[in-house]
Amino acid sequence: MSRDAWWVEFLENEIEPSLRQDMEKLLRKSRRHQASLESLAQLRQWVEDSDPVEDLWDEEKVRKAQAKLLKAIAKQPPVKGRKQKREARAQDPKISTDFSGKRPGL
Amino acid sequence: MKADLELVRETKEGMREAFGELVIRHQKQMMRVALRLVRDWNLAEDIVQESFIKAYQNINDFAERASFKSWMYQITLNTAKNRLRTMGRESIGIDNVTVAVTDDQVGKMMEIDVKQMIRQEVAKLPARQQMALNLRIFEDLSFKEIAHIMQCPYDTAKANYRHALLKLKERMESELETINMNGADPVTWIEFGAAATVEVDG
Repeated sequence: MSRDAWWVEFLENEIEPSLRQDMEKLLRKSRRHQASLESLAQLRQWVEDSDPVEDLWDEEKVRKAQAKLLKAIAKQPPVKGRKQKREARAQDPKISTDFSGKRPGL
Repeated sequence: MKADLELVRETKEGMREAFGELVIRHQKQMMRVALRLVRDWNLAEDIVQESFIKAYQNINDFAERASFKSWMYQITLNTAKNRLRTMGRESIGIDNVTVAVTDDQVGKMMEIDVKQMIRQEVAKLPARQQMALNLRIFEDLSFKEIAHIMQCPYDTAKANYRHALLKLKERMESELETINMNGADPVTWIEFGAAATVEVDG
C-alpha cells in the first residue's frame, strides 16, 4: 500500500492498536506524514460537507413521495405467509400434494 | 415501538400495514442514498418506490440475518445501479458537459467552490467506489456493513473506499494546482496543497 493508503486506514480507525502506536510516533516526528494525514482528513471533511443531497432535499416532496409509496404498497396483495401458502396449496386441486415421487398420470 | 424485524415478521404473515411502518421509518434514508447516486429527484423517487415494492414482494426472501435497513440499502443501490445502466451511464458524470468560458466569467471561476468541485469529482468515480464512499461518509456505516450491502468481501469494501478517497485526493491536487496557476484564491490551494508540496523530512 502507498503511504497515503496507510493514512486512510489510520483515519478510518482500521489499524491494529500496536501498529497505530507506531504510526502515531511517526506522526510526531515527521511533518511529511503529518501533512499526508491532514490533507486526507481535510478531504474527508470536504466530501462530508459537500453532500449533494443538501441542495436537492425538499421535505414537502419527501412527504408526498412517502404518501405515494404507501398508496402503492396498499394496492399490493397481502404477503402470503408460509402457513397461508401451505393452505392455499392444499386447497388448489391443480397443485399436487402427493409427494410419493410418482409422476402424475403414471 | 416495534423493532424492524418484528414488523418484517408481521408483513410476512400478511399484515400490510406493518410494512407501511417500515416505509415510514426508512424511506427518507433511502431517498438520500438514491439521490446521492443519481442526483435527480424524480429518478431517485422512482428508484425508492420500486425498491420498497420489490422488498415487499420479496419479503419472504429476507432471511433476517442482517437488519432490514441493510437489506433496503442493498435493494436501493442495486435498483439505482440497474437504472443507471439501463440509461447508459454508470454515474452522473460531467465528462460530457462542455463549459464555454468567457472573459467575464473568469472572475467567477476564481471564486471556485471546492464543494462543487468535490461533488463533480465524486460523481466521476466508478459506481462501486462512489457507493463505498457514500455509505462510509454519509451513512456512517462500518466496513462490515458496507461489505454486506455491496455483497463483497470486507477487504474489497475497504479497498473501494480507499481508492475513492485517494483518487479524489489526486484529482483535487491537480485541479487546485491548475486553478492556482490561473490565480485563484491561494488559501484554498495552500490548505490542500500542503500534502503535495511539503517535503521537509525523509
